Amino acid sequence: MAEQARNAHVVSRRTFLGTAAAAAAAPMVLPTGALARPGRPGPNDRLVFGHIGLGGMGRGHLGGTPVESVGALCDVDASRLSSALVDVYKRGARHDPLVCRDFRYILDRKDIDAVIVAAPDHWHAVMTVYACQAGKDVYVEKPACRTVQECRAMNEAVRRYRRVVQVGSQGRSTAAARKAAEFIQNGVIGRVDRVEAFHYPSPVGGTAEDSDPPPELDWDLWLGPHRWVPYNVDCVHFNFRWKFSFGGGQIKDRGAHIFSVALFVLNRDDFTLESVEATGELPPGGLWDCPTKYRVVYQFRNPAWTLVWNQTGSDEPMVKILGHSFGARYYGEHGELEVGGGDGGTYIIPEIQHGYTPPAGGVHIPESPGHRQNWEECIRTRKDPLMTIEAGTGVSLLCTLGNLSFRLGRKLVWDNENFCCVGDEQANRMLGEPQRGPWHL
Amino acid sequence: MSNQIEVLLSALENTGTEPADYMARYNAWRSAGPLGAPAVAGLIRLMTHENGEVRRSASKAVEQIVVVAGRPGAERSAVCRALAAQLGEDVPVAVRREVICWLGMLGGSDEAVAVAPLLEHEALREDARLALERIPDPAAVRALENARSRVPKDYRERIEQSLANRGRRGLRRRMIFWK
Repeated sequence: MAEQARNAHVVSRRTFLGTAAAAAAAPMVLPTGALARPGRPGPNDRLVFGHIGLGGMGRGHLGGTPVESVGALCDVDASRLSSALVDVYKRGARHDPLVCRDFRYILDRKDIDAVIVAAPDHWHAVMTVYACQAGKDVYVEKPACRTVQECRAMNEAVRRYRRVVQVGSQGRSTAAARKAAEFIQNGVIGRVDRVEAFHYPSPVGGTAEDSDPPPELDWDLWLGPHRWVPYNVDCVHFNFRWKFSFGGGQIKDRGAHIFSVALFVLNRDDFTLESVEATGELPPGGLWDCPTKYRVVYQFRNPAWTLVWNQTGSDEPMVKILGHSFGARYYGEHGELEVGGGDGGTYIIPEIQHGYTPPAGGVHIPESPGHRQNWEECIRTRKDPLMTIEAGTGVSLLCTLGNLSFRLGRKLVWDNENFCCVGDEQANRMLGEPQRGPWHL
Repeated sequence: MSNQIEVLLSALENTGTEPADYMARYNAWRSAGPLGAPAVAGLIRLMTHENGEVRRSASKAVEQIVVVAGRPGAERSAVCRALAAQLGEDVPVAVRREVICWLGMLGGSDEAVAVAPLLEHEALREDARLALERIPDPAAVRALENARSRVPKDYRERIEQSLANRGRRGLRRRMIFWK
C-alpha cells in the first residue's frame, strides 16, 4: 500500500502504553506473537479475530473474544485503540495483537481468520467487501450497509469469495424470536398480513460548531468512503446514528433489528417489495437530521402483506410492546402476537415462550447457541449463518428505501427484478453513493 | 412568487433561539420546494450566514427545491441552471461542495459540463468526481475521460475507477482494493 509507508510506525509495547503521546501517535504496527497458522481453521483450531471498530458495540464484541484469540485491534481513534489494548493485556494476553488505524493491515495478515466490523454504518460495506476479497470471514454489525448499491456489492462479494458473513441482528438468535417464529409459521394466528413496528423518536440535538478533529482521531479515515464533511464532535462515535448520511436514525438502528426479527418470524427473508412510502417530521433545529415522528409503509406481494414502521413523536404517548419501548405486533387472520424488543433483548409472553410446542410434523426451528457462537460454528462448517448477508442486506434495503422515500417526499415503487425504483430517475441516482477514494466498491 | 421568496428568506434568517423561532425556520424550509429556481441564489447566500441554524435551514431549503424539481415529470432545468450558477470562486468551497452534491442528484449534460472544470480544483475535485459518477449522462463520462490527462498523476486512478463504475469499456474495474 502506498499509504503504508506514511502510516506505519513500529514501537515497542512499553512505549505505546507508557507515553502520553500514545493518544496522539501515528498508527502503530506491533509484532504479533505465535499466532501465525497456515490454512483454514480446523474444528479444534482456535480462531483468531481482528476487531475493527472499538466503540460501544466493538468493545462488547472484544469482551466476547477469548483473549488468546484477539489477533488485531483497529480503530481510527487512538484513545479507543489504546484503551482496548490495555483491556486485552489486563485480561492476561501474553501476545501483542496487531494494533492499527487502517483496517487493511488486518486484511494483510494470514494469521487472522475473521474480522468483526463494528465501525460506523458508512464503513460496513467497504470493510466487508474488502475483507471477503482478502479471504476473511466477517461479522458485520447491523445495519449491513448504507445504500442499495452497497447491498448488491456485499451480496456479490460474500458469494463470489465464499465467505461466512453474519450480520449482527442478534434478535434472530434469541429464544423468543425462535418461539415466535414457530408460533406463527405453524399457523396459530393464521396468515399474517400486517406487522406494525413501534419505536420512540430519534433524538433531537447536535449544537456544536464544526471544528478541527482532536489529535487522537484520524478524521479522514473516520469518514472513509463518505463524502468530505467537516468534523463535528456531535456527529461522531455514538451520535453518527442521528445524521442521515452517516446512520439514518432509529429505523436503521433499532429498525434493522425489529425488521430482521419480523422477516425471520414470518420466514419472509426472500420478500418481494412492491412499494414504500414514508412521512414524518424532522427535528426543528440542530445538527441531527433524522426523522423524529416517522411512519413508513412497506407493501409486499407474493404473499401480499404490509409492514409499517411507526416512530411516535415526542408529543404522543410511547407505544409499549409487552412493556418494552420498541417491538412489533403481528396481525393474523385469527389473532395477534406481540414481540417486544428485537435486538439481543427480544420477548414474547411466557405462555408462548415456555408453553408452546410445535405440532409433530410442523415447523421446528433449531435453537441458536448465540449469534456470535452461531457465526463461529459456521466458520468451521462453512454453512450459512442465521443472518446471511442476503437477509442482512434485505433488511438494510427496507430501511434505506424508507429513508429515501422520506428524503424525496414521495412514494417509491420498487422493481425487484431490476433492483431499482420504477419511473423515478432521481431516486435511482440515489440508490448508491459513489465512494470517496481510495475506498472504492 | 418573489414575495414568497422574500418571506422564505426572511423566515430563515431568523436567528432567534426560542422554540417558536426553530419552528418558524423549520416550517419555512420544509415548504420551500415549490419555490424553485428563483429562490436558489438567496438561499445559497444564507448558507454563508454566521449562524449555524440559518445555514442549515437554508441548505435544507435548497434540498427541498432539488427533490421537488427531481420528481418524475417535473421540469428541472431551471433549478439545475440556478445551481450551476453557484459554482464560481465567489462561493465558498464548503457551499460549493453542497451545490456539487445537488447537481449530482439532479443535473444532466449541461451540469456535467459545468462541474467538469472542478476536477482540476484541489479541494473540490473529489466532490466533482462523485457527482459526475452519479449523473447518468454521457457528458459526465466524457468529462471524466477528458480529465484523466489533466488531473495530478496520483489522482488518475480515482478517475479511472469512476469511469469503470460507469461501464466505460477498456478500463478493467479494480476488484481487489485492499492491497
